[in-house]
Amino acid sequence: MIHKRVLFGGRGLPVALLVPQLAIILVFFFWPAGQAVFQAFHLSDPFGRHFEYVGLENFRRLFASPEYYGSLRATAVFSAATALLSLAAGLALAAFVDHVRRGRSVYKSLIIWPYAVAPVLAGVLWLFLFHPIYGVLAFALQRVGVGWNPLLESGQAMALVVLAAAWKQISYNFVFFLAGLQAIPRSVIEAAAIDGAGPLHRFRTIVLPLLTPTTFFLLVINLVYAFFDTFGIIHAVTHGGPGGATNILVYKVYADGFVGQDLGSSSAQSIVLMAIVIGLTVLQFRFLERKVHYG
Amino acid sequence: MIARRSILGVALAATLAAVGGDVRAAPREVNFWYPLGGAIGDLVVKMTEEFNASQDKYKVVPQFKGSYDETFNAAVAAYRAKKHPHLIVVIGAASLNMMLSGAVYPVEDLLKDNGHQVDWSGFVQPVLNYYRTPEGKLLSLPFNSSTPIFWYNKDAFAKAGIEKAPETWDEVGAAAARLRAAGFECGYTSAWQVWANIDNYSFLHDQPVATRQNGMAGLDTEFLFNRTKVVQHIARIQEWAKDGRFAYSGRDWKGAHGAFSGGKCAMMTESSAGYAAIRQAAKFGFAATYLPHETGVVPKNSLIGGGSIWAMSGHPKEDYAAVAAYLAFLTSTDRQVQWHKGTGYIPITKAAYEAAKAEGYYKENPHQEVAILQLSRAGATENTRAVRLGNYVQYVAALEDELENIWAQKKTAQQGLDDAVRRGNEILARFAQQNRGK
Repeated sequence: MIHKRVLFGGRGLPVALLVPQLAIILVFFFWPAGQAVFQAFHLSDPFGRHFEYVGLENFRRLFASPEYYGSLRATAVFSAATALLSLAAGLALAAFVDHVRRGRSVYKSLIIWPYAVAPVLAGVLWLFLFHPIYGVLAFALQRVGVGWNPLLESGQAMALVVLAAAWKQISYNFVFFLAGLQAIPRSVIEAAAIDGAGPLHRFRTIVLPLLTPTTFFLLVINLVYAFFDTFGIIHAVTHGGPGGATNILVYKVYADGFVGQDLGSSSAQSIVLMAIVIGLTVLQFRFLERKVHYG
Repeated sequence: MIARRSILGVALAATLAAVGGDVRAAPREVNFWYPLGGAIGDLVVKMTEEFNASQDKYKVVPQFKGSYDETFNAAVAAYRAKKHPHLIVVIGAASLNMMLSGAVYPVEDLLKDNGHQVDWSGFVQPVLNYYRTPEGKLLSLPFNSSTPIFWYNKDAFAKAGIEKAPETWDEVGAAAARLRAAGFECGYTSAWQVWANIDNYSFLHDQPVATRQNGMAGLDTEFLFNRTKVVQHIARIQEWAKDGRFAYSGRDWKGAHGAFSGGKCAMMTESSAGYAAIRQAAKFGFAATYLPHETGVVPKNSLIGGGSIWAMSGHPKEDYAAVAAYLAFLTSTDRQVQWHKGTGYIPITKAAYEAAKAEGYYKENPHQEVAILQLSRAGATENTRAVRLGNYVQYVAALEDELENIWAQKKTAQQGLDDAVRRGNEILARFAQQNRGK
C-alpha cells in the first residue's frame, strides 16, 4: 500500500484555509440558530420595541394546542411520503437510464431539470395543473368523473403537495442513484446472469444491496429536505389547508414567524423541529446504517 | 497610492457636497412601498409620475413589494434595520399593529406640521373613522378603500330565469337552486370569506365580531361570532356546500375570481375593487349590488377593507415636507376620481364622489356607487364602526382553517366556529401580551 502523505508543515496554513468556511458557518448557521434559541424564550412585537422573557411559555402554548399535534401528524405523513416517492421514482428513472443506450444524455438533462426550479415555483406549477377551478389536469380529472377538490379534500391536498415536493427532489436522487448504479462492477452482474439470474432477481439481490450506501445517504437528505425546505411549496399550493391538513411543522414555523411576525413562537417551533430531525437522523444512523453494505 | 488618494478626495468632496446641500441638488427622494399589482399598480406608478412631473423639489419612488403581507413584513424587517420607507400601504385589518408599533407618524400631524390645511370634514367619514384613534386623530390616509359587494352574472341569471338580483340570503339560496337546475356547476362563491361572511355579515346585522366594541375600546378582546347570528348563516352556507349551491374556491380571491369570471359560479361576494380584474376576465354581462341580508332586517353599513397609507417615523424632518406634498396630491379631487374609476376603490373625498356623479359615471357603472352607499348607510352602531384587532394574519388563517373544516362537513358550523373562536382568542391574548402597557 502506498500512502500519499499530505501533511501541512505548521498550523498556520490549515487554520487559514479553514477560516472562511468556519466564518460562513458561524455567521449563517450558528449565529441565527443561537438567535432562535434566545427568541424562543422571549415574546416580542414585530417592530422589536417590546421584548420580554417568558421562560417556557412559548413551548407550553405549542404543546397545549391540539392543532400542533395535527401538524406533527401531517408532517410525519408528508415527510415519509415525499421521501419514499422521490426515492422510488429517482431509483426507477436511474435504473431505466442506466439501461438506455441511445440518447442517455438527453434523458439525464431532462430529469435533472426540475432541480433548478425554486420550491415556490414548483408549487405554483403544480397548482396551475391541479387547482380545481383553473387547473388543466384538474379539469381532465373532473371530466372523467374523479371528484377532484383539494381545496376541501384533505387527502387530495396532501397528495398534491407530496407530488410537488417529491417531483422537485427526484432529480437529486436520480443523479446519485445513477452514479451508484454505474459504480457497480459489471463483472458481478454478468456472473449472476451466467448463473441464470433474471434481471429482476439480479436487481433485487445484487444491485439493491450494493446501492445501500447511496440509498441511506439519500434517505437522510430527503427527510431533511421534506422537513425543512418545503414551506414554499405549501405556501404556494395550500397555505396549510384545508383545515390544517397540510400545515406541516416547517410551514407553521414560516407562517407564524415570517408571515404572522410571532418570532417567539416561531423560534420555539423551529427548535422543536430541529430536535425532531436531529433525533430522527441519530436513529437512522444507529439502526438503519447497520444494514448498509459499504462495498 | 496617489490614484487612491485622489479617488478618496473626490468621494469626500462628493459626500460633503451631498451633506452640505447643493443648490442644484437632486430632488428629495421619498420611498413609497405598496402591495398593489397589475392594472392597479400601474395606476399607482402613473399617478406618482404625474406628481414627480408636477414639481421639481421632490421625487417619490414607488415600489411594488408583493402581497399585503409581504409588503408589511418587508417594512418591519426594514424598520429593524433602519432602512424603512417613508410611506407604506398597509391592509386595514393590520391597522392596530401599525398603530401600536411606535413606528408611525400620524398623517394628520404630518400634514399639519408641514403647513397643509386639510378640511377633513370634506372626506367620507365612515372611511376616515376606520383609521382614527379613539380620540379622533387620523393616523393613516385611506387610499385603496373598498368593501365587499354582491357580484352576479347577468347572462347566467337570464338563462336560469332569475329576474332580479337577490336582496336577502333566502333569495340567494333560491337563485342558487335555479342556477343549479339550469345546469350551472355552482350558485354562489366568495372571495375573502372571513371578511365577507363573518365580518361583514356581522356588520350588516348589527352583531359584534368581538368584545370591547370589536376591539376599538381596548386590547383585552375576545371573539364573539360563535354566539351571534353568524352561526346560522355559516350553517346555511354549509348546507349549500352539501347540495352544490355553494362552492368553496379557496382563500383570498384568485379562486373565486376564477369561478366567477370563468362562468362556473354566477354569484360572488367580493371586494368592490375586484372590478378591475372582473372587467378584464369576464366574457359576459355582469353587475353588482348590495350584500344580501336576512329577510325582514334593515341592514347596517358594511365594513371597509383594502388599505391605507402610513407614514413611518425616523426620517429627516425635511423628507416629510415631500411626503405631505405627495399625500395632498393624492387627495385632490382629480386624482381621486381617476383612482376611483381606474380601480373600483372608493373615492375618499365627498368632492370626488360628487364629481364622478355629476359626470354621470354611476349611470353607466351603477355597481361603482354601491360600495359607497353601502358603507355610508345611516345608523352605525358600536358594532359597525370598525374591527380593530391585532395579529390579523394569524387569526384570519385560523378562521379560514375552521371554515374549511365546516365546508368539508368535518365539523358542524357551531363546532367549527367554537374552535375558530378558541384559536382566535389565543392569538388576540398573545397580541395583548405583546403590547402590554401601550
